[in-house]
Amino acid sequence: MPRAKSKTLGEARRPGRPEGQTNLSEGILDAAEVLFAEQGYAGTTLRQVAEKLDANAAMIAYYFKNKDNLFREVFTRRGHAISDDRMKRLAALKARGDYDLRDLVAAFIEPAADLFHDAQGRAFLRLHARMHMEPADLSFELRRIVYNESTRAYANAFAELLPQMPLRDVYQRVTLLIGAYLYAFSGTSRLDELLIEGNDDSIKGLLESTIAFGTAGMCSRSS
Amino acid sequence: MLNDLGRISDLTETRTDAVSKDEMLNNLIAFLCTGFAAP
Repeated sequence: MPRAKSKTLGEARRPGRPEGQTNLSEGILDAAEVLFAEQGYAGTTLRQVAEKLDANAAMIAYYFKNKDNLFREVFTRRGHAISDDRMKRLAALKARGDYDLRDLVAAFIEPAADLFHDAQGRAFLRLHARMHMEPADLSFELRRIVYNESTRAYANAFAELLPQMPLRDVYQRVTLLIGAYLYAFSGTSRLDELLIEGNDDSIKGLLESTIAFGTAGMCSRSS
Repeated sequence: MLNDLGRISDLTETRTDAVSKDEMLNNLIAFLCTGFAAP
């Protein structure tokens, strides 16, 4: 085993990092992602992650120090990618200039929904859907770090398209939009039983329904 | 969503008053009603 530790994913992805070490870090993150998704933070141990890789817990600790750090790395790995993709799509819409509510909803949902196409991505969506069940401090901190900037950018964009809606309502609708797509794509709902795995038409249909549902919901009037 | 209201305060950095469960429920019902009727 190489002696240079890979403490963070950012370090692991650094150009010049030995390929074997990067692959091992990624392998640990993949295994942990599945276990955290299935069993939650409290129910998962470093030993279980190691067993899934046919390795030992000391090796996981060598790379990621402890469970808390491993969970952070698992969540931020894909979370940052989703958030970055959302910001790029929003910038593209603003550059285009003539976008509507549906375009905005689609740009917000699609980066996460794209993960539904493979088992590893679905593990993250399931992990994400249960984040509010995880320790509050950790859950809030990670979502704050990963999503606050992009979610606020979208809330402001929604507010521009819905000038009659109070900002506090916009934020509540955005939160409901997040709940809707996570329910649809987390694999924890009965919706996935209606889907045929690997059938892109089926997944596309669910995505279109979720976008239509979210678009209508965003502009609804509360009593 | 009703058990995750703190996330809204977090997102708005408390620039708005805390959202109550009743207020969120009101928004949830409106969201669902309109969503179900979506074309």
